[in-house]
Amino acid sequence: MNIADGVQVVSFAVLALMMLGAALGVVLLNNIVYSAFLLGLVFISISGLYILLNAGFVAAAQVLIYVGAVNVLILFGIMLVNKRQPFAPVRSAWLSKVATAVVCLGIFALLGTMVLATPWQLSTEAIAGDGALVKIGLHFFSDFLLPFELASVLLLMALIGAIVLARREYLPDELEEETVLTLPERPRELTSSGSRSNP
Amino acid sequence: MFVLSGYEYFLGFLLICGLVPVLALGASQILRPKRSGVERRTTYESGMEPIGAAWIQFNIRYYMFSLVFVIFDVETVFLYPWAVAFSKLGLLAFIEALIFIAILVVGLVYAWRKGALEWS
Amino acid sequence: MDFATLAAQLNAGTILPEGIVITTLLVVLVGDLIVGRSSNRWTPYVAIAGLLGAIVALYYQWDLSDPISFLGSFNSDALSIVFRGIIALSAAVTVLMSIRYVEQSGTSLAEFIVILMTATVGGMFLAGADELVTIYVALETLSISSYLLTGYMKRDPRSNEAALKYLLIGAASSAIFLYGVSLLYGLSGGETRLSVITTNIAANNVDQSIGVVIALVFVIAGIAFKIAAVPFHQWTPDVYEGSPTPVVAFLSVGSKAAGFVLAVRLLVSAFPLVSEQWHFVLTALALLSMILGNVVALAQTSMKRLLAYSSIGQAGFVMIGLIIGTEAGYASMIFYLLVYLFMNLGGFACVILFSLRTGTDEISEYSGLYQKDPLLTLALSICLLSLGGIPPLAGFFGKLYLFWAGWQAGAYWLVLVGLMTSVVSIYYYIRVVKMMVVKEADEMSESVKNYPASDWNLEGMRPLQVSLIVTLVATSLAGILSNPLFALANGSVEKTPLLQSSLNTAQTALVDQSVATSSTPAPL
Repeated sequence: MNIADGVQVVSFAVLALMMLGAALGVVLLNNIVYSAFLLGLVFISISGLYILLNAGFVAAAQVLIYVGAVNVLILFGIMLVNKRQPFAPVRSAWLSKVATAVVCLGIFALLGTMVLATPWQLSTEAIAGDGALVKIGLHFFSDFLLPFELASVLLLMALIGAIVLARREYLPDELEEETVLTLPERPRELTSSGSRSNP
Repeated sequence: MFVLSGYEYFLGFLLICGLVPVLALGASQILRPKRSGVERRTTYESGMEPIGAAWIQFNIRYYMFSLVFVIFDVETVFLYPWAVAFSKLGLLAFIEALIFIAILVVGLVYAWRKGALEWS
Repeated sequence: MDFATLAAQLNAGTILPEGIVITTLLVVLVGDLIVGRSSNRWTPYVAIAGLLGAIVALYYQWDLSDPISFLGSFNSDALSIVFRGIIALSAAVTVLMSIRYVEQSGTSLAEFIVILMTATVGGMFLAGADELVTIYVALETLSISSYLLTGYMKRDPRSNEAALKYLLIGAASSAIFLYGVSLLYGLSGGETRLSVITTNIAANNVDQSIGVVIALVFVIAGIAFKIAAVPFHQWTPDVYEGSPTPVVAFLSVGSKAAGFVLAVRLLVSAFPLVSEQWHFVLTALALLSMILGNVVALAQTSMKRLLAYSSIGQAGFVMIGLIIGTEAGYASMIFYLLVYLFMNLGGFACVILFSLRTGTDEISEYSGLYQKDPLLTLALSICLLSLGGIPPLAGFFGKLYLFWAGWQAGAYWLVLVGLMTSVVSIYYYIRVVKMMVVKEADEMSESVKNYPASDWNLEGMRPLQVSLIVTLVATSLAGILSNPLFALANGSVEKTPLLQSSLNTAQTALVDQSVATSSTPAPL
């Protein structure tokens, strides 16, 4: 084993340990803010793994989108809610935790066996390496053109939906005149908060 | 097999960056006098006395901005390979990218008109 | 790749219908931005015109000589054309129904239409997607717009709850689906086109691997979530109850049709190597859906929940056609979906109208409606009876054809369970009809006593009336004058190379099997 391979093995071990530890922390910690920050660490470790797999662009995109945008969004989402109610301890909560752990370990064992038992077909093409970005560009505009263009519609709709859901609604006042028709489907409870504008 | 170039420097920087806090904290751990008292826990020299917890309620505006940011961040990632491979792609790809951008510009105009870009 | 000749290879004309829908969507969005809220008077009609225009464009693609476009990403065969038509039509009817509803809830109409049309575009692309990446992006376009639509009434906590549940379960299921798809990619040695995946898997000698089975299970989990088959149905009742009713109408028809076409394309073209396994899994899902959907519907008190469970049961019926996999099976499945489009949308149009006038969707509140609103009673009765399968309505012929095809193919258990659960379903549909028609004047519910006089001249009521009448007429006549629909369903199966080739291989396999062993048990 030469030094380059050794460095790779060590980096892989460090990244994998970091990722597993952070992922366990995301799931097991009680403080949701810590979980969110650890999620960022998980994303960073994954992008490190991408680099080890010669996918530099994917790694950069991972950091840019997941760490830079999605994780920040998650943090803002958490910080918007100013309710830190301690969860009431559930009786025999350990039972469900054990059940979850058993199910997760079972799935892990199944998938692990599958991965080891399958004779994977490795591509014989040369590794693109630094030229991968150009290749991705060529694919975007030839055989993956349709999903590429569809992604723009998807992004447009996501933007509209996000703004519709997050913006402060101006309360329409032309509703008052309608007495013939009532508003559909009043909420069952929470009538005070749910139908403030619809007397 | 690892073929990406330029990551040796990255690794070197990573090591140095990792060492800086370890060395700084480790050195002070060794060198500093070990005394404890009430004074030691107060804010050092300047700055305000902290009031309340660090976990405060954020304004919803931050959320709006980061939502819009996510969308355009993804758009950037999509357009970056186009820019890199531009010289090999030709006119057709230029038109295709224009369609992509045009659809998203409608989204930008929408966000702007609906006041999602204003800090009000 | 030669980029000079790329334009000719793309064959982009096949996505003209989707192009029309996207253009209309942008017109609605920009029109709303320029004019403001007063654009509500014309945007819905532009949207409907665009959707109908897309259907006309689909009609002209029926005899396309070269359906493969975008270098194998999209396959505009007859199967996809029928399903794209179903999705576009259901969206058009949904727009008609939603105008008054959205106006009255005080939310903005143009955005609602834009998101609904994006969902339509996603569903239409999904119907023709022939490659894994396209499938996933189209699926996400459909799903994410569905989540947004579900939570569109954001001042209603029930709508919020529904959106959150739908989002969480949907995200989980689409992650599972993606995992299964990625296994396919790996097993086939880095291939994303569905038509090549099977040959590659067979060539790589991994067809007996456990990986293919796991990929199959994960993919089915994702699809079953979309078509709301038991046991992946848990989201359905809550989401249907909480969402705005027009959205539920679209989800139960358009989104479900997209799920079915995805199932057909993916299972038939990418999983022929494990065809026994997927038939077994789907049979179990169909049996469970028919039994659980129809039995639990008996206990419902809310009309929307009733229709939710009934749609689970209906999905079970439709799956029979997919499982038997004969020519008649596929054709009957398409025919049933066409009929289901009209009767289910008609049912939801009635529920919308009733809840607009009374503000409730409890079944008990419908009692005595006949004396106040005969038209609504008639329409709802016809649609419910058709869903139950009472002759001579459209649903009866749909079920007849499905069960007949199932019986021919030897799927006796499926057909028997289907027949029995149909009888159960008739019970709960008739219960609602009886509630509306038979009750005396003094048994009238409070809501019906205060029932406002029918005023169709209010803004947005006319389109609702149109959608009601159209679905009513289609439901009552599609059974008797069903020849065009039959011809459409049969023609689409005949013209689809994918289905034809699978039929041929199935036939040769059957012959081989009968030669090898003369006493093979009939498939379930």
